[in-house]
Amino acid sequence: MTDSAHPDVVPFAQGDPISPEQRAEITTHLRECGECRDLVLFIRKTNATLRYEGRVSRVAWAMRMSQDALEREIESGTSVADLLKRPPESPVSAHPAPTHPLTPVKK
Amino acid sequence: MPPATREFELYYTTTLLNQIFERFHPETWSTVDEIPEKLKGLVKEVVPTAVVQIMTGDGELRDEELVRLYKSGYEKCKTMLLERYATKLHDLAPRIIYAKNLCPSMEYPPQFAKDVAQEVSLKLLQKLGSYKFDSKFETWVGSIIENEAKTLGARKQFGRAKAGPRTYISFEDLERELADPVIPIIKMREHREILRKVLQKHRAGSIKDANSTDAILFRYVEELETSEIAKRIGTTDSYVARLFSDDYPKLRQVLTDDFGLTGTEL
Repeated sequence: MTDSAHPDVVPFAQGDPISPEQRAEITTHLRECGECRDLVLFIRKTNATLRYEGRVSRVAWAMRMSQDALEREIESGTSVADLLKRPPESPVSAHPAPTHPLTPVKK
Repeated sequence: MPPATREFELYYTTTLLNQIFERFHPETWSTVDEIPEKLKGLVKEVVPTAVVQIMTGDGELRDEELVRLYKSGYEKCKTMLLERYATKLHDLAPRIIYAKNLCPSMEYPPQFAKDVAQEVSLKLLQKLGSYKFDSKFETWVGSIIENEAKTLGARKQFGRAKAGPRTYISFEDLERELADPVIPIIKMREHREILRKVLQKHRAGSIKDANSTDAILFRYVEELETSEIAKRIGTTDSYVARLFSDDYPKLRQVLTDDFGLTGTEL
């Protein structure tokens, strides 16, 4: 949102360098504007998720595992150190009990 | 030779041979000397008929032939077909939506048709290989338009009903989030899948949208510096920053309009 009613909150949400004046203007605006607060949160969650998925995919590739299998290991609490110790032919852990109900629930 | 290419060769060879055999009556030829002339005549007769079968009146390959060529390994034919349909869909989608009354009452019909057309181009990109030649290609696309219009209509209605009055994160909670050095990821797989669809839909919008999607993925999935991103998409650092600023609000808009979710609910 970069129109006159809303300042550009994207650099702020991405953690890019901005001037103290811009930061102050955005903070004041965020107090009043739910849409922009939601946008900031959306950007942070999106970026963190993409970064996480990128890292998981690189580690999975390096360890010759599928991304799904590695995610299951992460969810079941296996450390990367444990994975490295494991011989490559060992099967990954069985799928752990779901950490959240299968039916989506609003947070 | 890949199996698809064999199938392609077999198809055209059989088609040509059938046409030749239909006209091949050697019992009517009086002398052996006539054979070369008769064969030449057959070829002259069969080739134009075969060409007509695979070409449109404008001298372009028919849609079905482009699919056949694509399936045999000629990747460029897919691009040609998708380019052809990028224009065609903007005419086909409104016609089908209007004829079958598929636009939800609260939607603005031209915008709804545009959204459906966009969804269908994405589907064509992903599912072209599943076309089975059992109907005309355009009829097959028509059935995709109908299905997508129904799905999108239901999703929009569901999204609106589900959303109700929007509630957003409070300023105090956002401050706490911002102060936390660990940024939470989207936990629910369903929501991560929705994020993927949002990015896909955005990418299919325009060249600028495709560039901004790439820029986001380069920065966060591949963790590249802005200067490297600018180099990869062939632009300047400041344009990359502009792409981010312009396009995150659009991505959130797709999330809200198409999936009835907000950043707070994600």
